Amino acid sequence: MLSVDAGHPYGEDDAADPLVDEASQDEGDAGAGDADDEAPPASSRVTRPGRRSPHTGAIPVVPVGPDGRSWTRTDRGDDAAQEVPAADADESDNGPGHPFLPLDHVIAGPDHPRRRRGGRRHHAPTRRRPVGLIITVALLSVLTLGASAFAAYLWHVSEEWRVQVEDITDVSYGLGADLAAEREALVTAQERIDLLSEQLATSKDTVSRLQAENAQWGDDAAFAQEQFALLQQDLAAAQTVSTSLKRCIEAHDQLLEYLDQPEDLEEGEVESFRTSVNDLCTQALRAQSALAPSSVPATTP
Amino acid sequence: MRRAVTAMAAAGALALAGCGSIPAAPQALPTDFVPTPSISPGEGPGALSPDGFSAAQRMTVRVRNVGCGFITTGTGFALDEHTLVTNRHVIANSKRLSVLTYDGRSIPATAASTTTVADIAIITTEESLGNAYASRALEDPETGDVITVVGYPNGGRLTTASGVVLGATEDPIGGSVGTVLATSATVEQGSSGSPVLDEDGKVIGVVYAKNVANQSFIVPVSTLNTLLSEESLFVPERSCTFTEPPTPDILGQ
Repeated sequence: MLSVDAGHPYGEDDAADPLVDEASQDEGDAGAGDADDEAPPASSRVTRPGRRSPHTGAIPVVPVGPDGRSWTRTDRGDDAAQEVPAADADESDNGPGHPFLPLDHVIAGPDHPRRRRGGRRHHAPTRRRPVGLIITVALLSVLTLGASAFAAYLWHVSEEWRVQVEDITDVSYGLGADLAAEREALVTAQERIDLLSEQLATSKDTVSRLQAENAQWGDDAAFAQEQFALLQQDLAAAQTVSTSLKRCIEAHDQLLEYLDQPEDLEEGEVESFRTSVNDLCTQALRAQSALAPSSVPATTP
Repeated sequence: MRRAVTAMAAAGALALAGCGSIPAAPQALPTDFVPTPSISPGEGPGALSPDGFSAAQRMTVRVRNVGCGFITTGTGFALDEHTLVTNRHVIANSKRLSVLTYDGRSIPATAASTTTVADIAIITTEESLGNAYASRALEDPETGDVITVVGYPNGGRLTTASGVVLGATEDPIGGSVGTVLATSATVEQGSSGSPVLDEDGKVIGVVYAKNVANQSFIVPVSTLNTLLSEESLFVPERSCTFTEPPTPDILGQ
């Protein structure tokens, strides 16, 4: 006879753990002999209406109270492995009293509390409440709501990113167009720069050439200025020499007149005048001789 | 049943744990981005002036010495808006000094001073020399360093010549105290007073002589810095009162 683990009223874990299932099977078989004497009434059979185990393929068992409603065991813990009272052998042979109760799922055993108490029920039959199912449903609901909210948030974020990507794409195309235009302008500007560089180099060369010419002209001007100053000096000296020579000539003329009329002068006076004239002419000739070298410039630029 | 509940709780906890990595909505695209402009070609080291000349070229001037019966030319470089450095022999026996900038401006010199320590002279002007001035190095160059000489060789066009430092040597003319530097840069008469620049554009010396092997000699920047820090070492240069030809072994043309 099968038994149902009290901690797993629906027998899911029994299906997952065949060892427990087999042990319960053996234990149930061992207690089958007592089923005739201490079997609870059919109305207290434990069944699982309307639920099928997904693992074993058998019809799930739900404890059923005397009123035919399902009930929940409250003696979990150490008594979890105890067997519930076995069903009547006759009833087991004849099939379940409940339309959803198979024979091999009738819960009975010698250690069941009801069995120990002489088959009399001391617990009010209660309907087992699917707390785990409620918790599961609640959690799933919360998770579903959270996932929905999260999905909505992600959709919103994705939408904003998509909009921004479109904006960036537009900006990128604009920048690309600007870049192409700037590159074209850059090429044009570079050509102008090259042309201007050539013009600048030419202008610089011209400035240097003109500066050099200007400097050379300045040197020439300075040289001419110096030469002019020297010529002025020479001119002044020449004027002095000229004056001296003129006075020399005049003195000679005067001397000739004196010599033509010697009776008008004393003999010593003519001779003295001649000596003076000679000295004057000698100085004039010396000044004339000293005039020529000074007009030659000492240095040329 | 407990396993199912446990599994659901675990699934819920897992779902909640996943909340830590829930993707967030995108933030608004920035609209206040202002790109930073790059450095202007007219800024930074080595920048060109609007007329295409470098700072080294703009600070280099041509010096004309109109002496008593002779005219010589040399090179100098601006220390500031009204002061420039050249060689002592460039301004020797001068009756009138004038400087010519790279763009052709002729500026008369108002005063000149020289020193007997080295072939260095200082010229001052009343008119501005421009806006490009020399940046002097703090230490002398090492042997093998690459140098650049900017000047007016033969009194002609502004020219740039390159070379390397050959090493320290005694003054071949004997007019300087201490050692001078020999370089491989080719210079000509009229290059006297040219600034010698390192790779960073800093002045590391002043050209003052050359030899038959086309090696140039420069007054090192350490000597120049010492002289410029001691104004008492300079004495005013007197104008010439007689004609004296320039020394033949120097670069003044």
